[in-house]
Amino acid sequence: MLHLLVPLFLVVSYSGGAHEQNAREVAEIIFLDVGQGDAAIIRSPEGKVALVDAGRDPDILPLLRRHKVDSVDIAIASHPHADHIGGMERVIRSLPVRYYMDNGFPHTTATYTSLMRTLQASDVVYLEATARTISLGSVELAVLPPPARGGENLNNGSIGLVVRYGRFTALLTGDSEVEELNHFLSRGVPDVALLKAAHHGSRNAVSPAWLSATKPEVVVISCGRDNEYGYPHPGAMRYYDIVASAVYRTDLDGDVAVRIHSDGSYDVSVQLDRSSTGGWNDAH
Amino acid sequence: MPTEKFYAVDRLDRRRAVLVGDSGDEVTVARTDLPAAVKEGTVLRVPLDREGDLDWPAARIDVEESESRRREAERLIRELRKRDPGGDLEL
Repeated sequence: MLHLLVPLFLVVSYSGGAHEQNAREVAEIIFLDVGQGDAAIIRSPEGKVALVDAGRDPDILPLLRRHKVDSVDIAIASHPHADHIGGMERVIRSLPVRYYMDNGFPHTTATYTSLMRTLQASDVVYLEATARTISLGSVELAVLPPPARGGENLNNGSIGLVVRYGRFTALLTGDSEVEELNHFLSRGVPDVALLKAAHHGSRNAVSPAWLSATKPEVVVISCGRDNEYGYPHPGAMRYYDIVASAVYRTDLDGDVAVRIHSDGSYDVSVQLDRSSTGGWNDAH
Repeated sequence: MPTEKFYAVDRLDRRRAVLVGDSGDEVTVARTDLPAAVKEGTVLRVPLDREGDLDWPAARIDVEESESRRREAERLIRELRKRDPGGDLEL
């Protein structure tokens, strides 16, 4: 179909400009435009795939197919809110999935229970979110465990992930709010090239201390167009705009794809042209 | 015809609650229309009015159902954890 062939456009290069490296030496992180929710693909140069969250729409498969994902080596649910796990059961049922990790915090929604029962009936290997390293080919995923059980806000039980490829580092922390960000800070976080804004760019999910420690060059915010929560919050945007050289938003940019070279340089491509009035620029 | 439906509180912010019904449907409701004690994971019994619409102000917390679902979730997690080989992994 045509939309599978239309490339992302508007490529911006960081730290070194254009590259002639072999495609097999490029890793990718693709933040999918799933509306008001989170989903990201991490693909190693060897073709290994991690799916971090799966949006809230059960039918995430067309988005995965668009990025040529037909199997998942590890699916990671940052936390069990439906806007992060809504598409996960369909993925487990429809694609070969080898491993699944979640934060181990129980929930009571039908979305969660059905997913867990599907996992139980499958041969997917469940992983606890302990302080462990997952080698996704030559991409390293270092797990930042959430605080031990406690509190009533599942956002603050989000799994943190440090993604490393060569000299490039990214950090994803689901819907962590400041309480959990402070927990991560107390254990040490790296400075990063790319930071996924926690909790869709909520004001309660960023702080000067967090940005001072992580020092992101690029921030990606995953949120829905005209979402009812007003994400990203203007106060959070001010923080990100001050610190980062670029802030990408799935509500305005569509899918945001980061192609990473082992020397630490990377290119960012977006699906939509913000200056266009027509909205989608491909056959979405 | 059912006279009430179960909805579980998926997530909360200061003003709103997002609830998930047993058919997987998602509804956003003002917190002022819900019992004050709702937390994430609370299961509500929501009556249907004469038109068959959800009567949120009449919703009541079902403590037993909430606990039952939580225990079932914990059981599933315990079972799944037995598959974890532990340690670092190379995929």
